[in-house]
Amino acid sequence: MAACPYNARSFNWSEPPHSPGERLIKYSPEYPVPHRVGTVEKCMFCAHRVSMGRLPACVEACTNEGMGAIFFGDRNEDVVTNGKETVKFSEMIEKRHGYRYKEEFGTHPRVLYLPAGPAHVHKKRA
Amino acid sequence: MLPLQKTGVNFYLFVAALAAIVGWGLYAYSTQLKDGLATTGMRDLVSWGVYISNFVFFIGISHAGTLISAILRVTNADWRRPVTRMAEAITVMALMIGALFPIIDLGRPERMLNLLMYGRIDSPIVWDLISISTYLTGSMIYLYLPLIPDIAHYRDNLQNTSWWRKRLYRILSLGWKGTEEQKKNLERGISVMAIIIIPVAVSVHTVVSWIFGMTLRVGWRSSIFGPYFVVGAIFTGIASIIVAMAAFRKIYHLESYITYQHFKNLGLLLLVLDIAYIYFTINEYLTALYNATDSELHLLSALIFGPYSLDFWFFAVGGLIIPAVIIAVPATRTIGGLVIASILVNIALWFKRYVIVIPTMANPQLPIGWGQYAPTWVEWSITAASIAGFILLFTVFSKVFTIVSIWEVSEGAEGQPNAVGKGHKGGNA
Repeated sequence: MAACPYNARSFNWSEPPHSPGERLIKYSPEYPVPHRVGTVEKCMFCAHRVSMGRLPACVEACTNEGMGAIFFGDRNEDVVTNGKETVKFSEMIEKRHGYRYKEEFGTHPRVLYLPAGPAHVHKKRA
Repeated sequence: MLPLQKTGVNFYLFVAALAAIVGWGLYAYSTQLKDGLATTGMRDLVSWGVYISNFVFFIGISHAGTLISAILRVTNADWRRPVTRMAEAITVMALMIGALFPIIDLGRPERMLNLLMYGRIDSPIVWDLISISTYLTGSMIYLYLPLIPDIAHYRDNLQNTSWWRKRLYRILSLGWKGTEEQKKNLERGISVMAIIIIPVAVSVHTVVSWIFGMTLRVGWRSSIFGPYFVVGAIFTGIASIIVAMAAFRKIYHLESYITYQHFKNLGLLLLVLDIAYIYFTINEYLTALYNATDSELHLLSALIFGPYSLDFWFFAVGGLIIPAVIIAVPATRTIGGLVIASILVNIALWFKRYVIVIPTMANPQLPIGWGQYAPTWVEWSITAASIAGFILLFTVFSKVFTIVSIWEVSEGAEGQPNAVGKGHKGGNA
């Protein structure tokens, strides 16, 4: 918690709410499910959904809301998707000037950010 | 040895009051165990609070002892004799209390053993575990060795005493008879431990500082954190000895053993450490201030003018400047003055630890705004219980063992007929 320079970890300060579905899942060391009080968690890109061939919940929700701003994929395959369009990862990062937070720390985070593209800038000015 | 033989009503009242506070703290901890750490003021951004400040504070006090008494022994400072026992006891007790805090701070204390079984050596928490347990073991041995001849003395001289005392003293005195060979072995053991314990003590507080220094956080990632913490620890350690000396001197009437000279010597030592700590503090903050990167200034302005300024300036003025003046001016360098200075140092340095831990945690690392933190009644209760527990341990210790080392004082008196301690009257202590 204290060491992460991105505040990416979170802690179950009290007994977290449990969904009925979650109660049916058997505990596996692979996923932080069911959630437990007194433990640290971190986003693992919904590994349980990915293993079923689905996109992480945040990506799916974002695309369903018509924004499609979050892309997810496999770096080794160099492919990312937001559920609607599938693009070449390295090309998109290059073209849209993708960046990471605190590059100088050398922590090589796997989350990159895309600045607002020309279309967005145009909209803002108008 | 009077405190070992006679116990007044006040003693029981005092112990009962302390035990009540400890009990209240245990109750607070039980609610924390039941409802999770949500009962504290800590949240995701500020995930270290007063528990970690208390941890650093108590580990700091623990340097009183061992380090001071070891250095005075190694350098053969003769005036040390009546105060070493007290110093060594502070170390063991402060460590026992301080080491509890990281455990109290755990969300799942029952998984503590995993740290031993699966802990990885590349984690500073594991370094902490290793160094603190080494230090605790070492300082217990270091407290115990010089106790052996005294325990044998109680065994032989305490006549009308309870069965448990007789048994305890018989077992713990390890058949000490005071033969030449036993004396030689004991002296050798004490000398070896005195030398070993110095690097161990230094390493412990260095490692404690590294749980901060090894992170990438503004306000923590400082290469002087190790020595800064060690100096701070010795500083509060000496202040604690002075307070303990004054308390025991008054309660147990030890005026003939602990004299103004002891207060003066330790007071001057306190002044030296105060100045060293001021030097480190200037180093720490001036470099950050002069570099003036955005993130450093963000934190510093919160410390100097912002929400933490009261804590910070109380530390700087009340903990460093005022005590230095009190000790430096001969008119205020009385026992009373030194005790006031020492209490100020301890309170202010607790705030210093608070100011090290919390603002850096609250300082946002991403553009997300400051974290919020205010300790809850659970945290305050546990903090109060830890202080009460520390005093309680000390009080009980002083009832089972003499707080002034009988044989060391009498040995010093034999060496120098005019020495401070009237050693042969040890039976009155």
